[in-house]
Amino acid sequence: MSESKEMIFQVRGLKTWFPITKGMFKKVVGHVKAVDDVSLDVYRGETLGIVGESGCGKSTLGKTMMMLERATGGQVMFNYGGEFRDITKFNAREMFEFRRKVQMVFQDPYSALNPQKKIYTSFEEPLKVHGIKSEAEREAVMQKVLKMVNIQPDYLMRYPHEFSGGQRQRLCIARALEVMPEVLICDEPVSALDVSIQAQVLNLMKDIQKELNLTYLFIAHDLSVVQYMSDRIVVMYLGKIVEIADSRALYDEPLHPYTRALLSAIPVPDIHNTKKRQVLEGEVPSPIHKPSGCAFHNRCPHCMEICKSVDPAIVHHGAEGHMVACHLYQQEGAPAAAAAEA
Amino acid sequence: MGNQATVSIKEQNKSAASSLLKKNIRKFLNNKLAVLGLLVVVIMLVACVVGAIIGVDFSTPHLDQMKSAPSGTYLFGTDTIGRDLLSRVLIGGCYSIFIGVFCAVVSSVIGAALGAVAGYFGGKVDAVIVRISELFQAFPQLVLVMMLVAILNQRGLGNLLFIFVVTGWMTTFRMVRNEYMSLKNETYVKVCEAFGMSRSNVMFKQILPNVMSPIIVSTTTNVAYFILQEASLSFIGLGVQDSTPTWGNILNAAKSLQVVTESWWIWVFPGLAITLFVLAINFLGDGLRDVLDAKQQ
Amino acid sequence: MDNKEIILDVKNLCTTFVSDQKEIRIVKNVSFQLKRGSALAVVGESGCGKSVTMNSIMRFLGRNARVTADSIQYNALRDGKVTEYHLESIKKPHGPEMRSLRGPEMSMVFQDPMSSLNPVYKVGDQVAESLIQHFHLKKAEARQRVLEMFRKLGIPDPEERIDCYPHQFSGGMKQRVVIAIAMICNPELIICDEPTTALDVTIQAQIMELLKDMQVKDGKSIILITHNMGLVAEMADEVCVMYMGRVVEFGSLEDVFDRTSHPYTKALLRSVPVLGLADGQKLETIPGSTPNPADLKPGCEFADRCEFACDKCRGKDIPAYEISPGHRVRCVLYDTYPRAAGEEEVGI
Repeated sequence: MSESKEMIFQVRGLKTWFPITKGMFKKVVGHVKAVDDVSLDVYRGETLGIVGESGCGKSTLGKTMMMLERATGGQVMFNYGGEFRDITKFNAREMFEFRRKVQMVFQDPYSALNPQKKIYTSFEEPLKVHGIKSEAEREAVMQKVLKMVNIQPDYLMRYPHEFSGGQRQRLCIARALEVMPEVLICDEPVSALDVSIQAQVLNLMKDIQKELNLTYLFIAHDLSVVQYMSDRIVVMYLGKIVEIADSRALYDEPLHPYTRALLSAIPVPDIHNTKKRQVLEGEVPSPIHKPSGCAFHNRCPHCMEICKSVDPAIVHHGAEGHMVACHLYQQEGAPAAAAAEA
Repeated sequence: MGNQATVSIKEQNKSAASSLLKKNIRKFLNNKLAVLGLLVVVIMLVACVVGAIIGVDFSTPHLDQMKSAPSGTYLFGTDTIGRDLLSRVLIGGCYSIFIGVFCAVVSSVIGAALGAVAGYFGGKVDAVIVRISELFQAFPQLVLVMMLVAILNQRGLGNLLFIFVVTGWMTTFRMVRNEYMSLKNETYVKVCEAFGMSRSNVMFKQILPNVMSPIIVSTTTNVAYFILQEASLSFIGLGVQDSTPTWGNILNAAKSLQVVTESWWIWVFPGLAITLFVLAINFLGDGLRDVLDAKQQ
Repeated sequence: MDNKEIILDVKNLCTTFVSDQKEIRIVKNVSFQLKRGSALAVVGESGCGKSVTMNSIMRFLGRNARVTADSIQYNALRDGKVTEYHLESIKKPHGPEMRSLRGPEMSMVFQDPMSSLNPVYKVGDQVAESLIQHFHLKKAEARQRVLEMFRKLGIPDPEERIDCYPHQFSGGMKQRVVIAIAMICNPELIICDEPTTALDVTIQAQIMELLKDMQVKDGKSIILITHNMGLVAEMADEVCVMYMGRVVEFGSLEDVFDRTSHPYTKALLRSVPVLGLADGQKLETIPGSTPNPADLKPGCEFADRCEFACDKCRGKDIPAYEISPGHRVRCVLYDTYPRAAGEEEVGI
């Protein structure tokens, strides 16, 4: 990989709100702010992990970044050979072309393949849609992607129910690769799989990434899986980014109290681990009625007066590329931060 | 490995292709009642069609043979004006089955198309179509028939077909709409959208095959339903013209108490035909449901 | 050990399912003992038979399941006296004998809190239900007991929440209510079937804390079914690793984690991503996929995926060997050790 990092996605102030309607006339009475003012950069060839609990908006963020959900506001700029274009303003034609650049792998491999169709048909259709007319050409592509995921071509004539979960997820990855995308958005790709199969799929994804210089957006709730896969990690809470850091840095020195709680909540399969677990009080509030100020303040062990009223901006702190949205770090070396570290 | 690319994967693996069809046929044959149903349906259909082709005489009244009981010449006997009841039941079968099948298929197509649109798009489109279907459901079939007879000033097959289709698509519509509403959230639909496939492609090529089996099953049972509807409308004299024999129309002749008590064959045979056919269709539909319903596999 | 110390003693439990006139053996010769007041973790992947084992003990399985066992003995301790129940000989799975055990003696927490509660009844009434059924309490008394239980389980504002419906609760709170239902009759043995799989990690930590408290403070015996090795390390005193219907390794927490012996357990521990792996370090993978229980070959079920597989592994069933007191491993690599008790006469 080259030293100078080339940006491929540039997300600025992205908002995805879902209206809540009531009554006969579908009056909008509020919004679920699934993604609320998110800005991030994705570099070519890296794996950016997005982690958070259910309802934090990580899946919606992934879907909005490939316009499977309409953005309510903000920009998603995609790098077209050096020129950044805002995909939220694309028309149908441009959108269709964009589909070849970014593809998605979904959580549930059991429903991701049409149960009524042979795998062959499911593999053929996207190629047909994207204008590969001759059958020989289509089959050449299929051969190529199947080889990448170690599945024999004659399996194509079977139906999805004849495959195990791991094989299905490999098929799904292969199908996404057919159109030669530059970015693969993976929404919980292994959480529906057996533990003994997860490692197979994760390692396979790593190998494919190296081979094709793919960019991954790896969305998962399991921080240990995300940490294994990612170069950088984005931690989300209630639709907002609370921390962005290098994978290693996030583990070694997590800054945001939520990240720390998340790390400590993960059970470690080591019986000599003496780490004292820090159990977070309370539950994730509903995204409809977000707490004022910092959304985390009602569960935060370091909550201050300012947290209840002012929403913290995301700022650089510590190592390069390490960003955090927390009042403890708003000024470098503030006494509050020192107190929290202690 | 390399030379495989030259031979089509499709061709090469014809033998490896899974035999879902064979499995389904075996499953169907295991259901004795359904096989019996299919057999009865086929036999009756063939008998009726053959009757129509060889042109049995169903309309000439033999005034000297009125209300004669079943015998060697008239297997089923004759009706009130001396027409051969067997040929009338056979030809009537053609009409009745045609009405049933035609209305069931057309109303299923309409119901499925509207259901697909309403379920897949949702929102305002859905609300409008659902209101329309409720409007039709609230309209009594009988009044609609009377209205049409009053307007056109005649009874006929066309009227009946039109009314059955117009008032019969709602059940299929509701079912298909519900299926679409749940299926559109399936991951494979999202995958197709992520590949940029058009909405009509997703709606009809991707989702429809998964809804096909309940549609087929409901169409079969609808055939039975429409045959019964036709019979009752014809019986009360609002169905097809008297000159066209249908199972219901034949029964119409047995309206008077005298016929019912004295000439049993006039109502027993057409009644039996209706019962047998409807029962067989329902068995067949049940069997199809067992085979096609993916949730039971 | 006598009956006072052992609460549940299972010997040679087999469960066979019949479907399409074929018999599929889901649980094969499972034996384990649970000490009173300790926590046993049953680990394995989906389809390994861990849930079926527990459902067999609770007699929750349908008519197409056939459960046989040399013994499933439950020792109830009441006022210092032990009453033995032989669950395998109870004829009717839903008869009064079995019902009187479920609730006051043993109870179960299921995986999915969303579907474990009946949406049309108030949660308080659902919790009180078994109190009224088993102890014939009056409604007002039962309500007081439920309120106490809600307070103990950390459900905020119990007086208000008791009259709410399940849909007004979050996932974690629902699971607390499900635990309250399991706990309300003060059972000695609680079987938790993947209690936190449907929940977020921070909520999982809360629920696990709760279960640990019940075991340590109230002396309850817990069986925790899970696939998460991390939870095992935190919760369990003893570990039972299952693969394709068999117990492949059984031992204390230290036995299984520090002196891991069965190749499957080893592979399982090494193939799960752990926080803080060094950069570039690759996970080990277990080749192949879990076989279909309908077409298993005789011999060790793991042989086809095992790096140490040899001829001895195939052909006939592998007995369990006792490599140190209480540490049993079902693998031919250890055939120099004595066979575990009760394993000699095990046939097909």
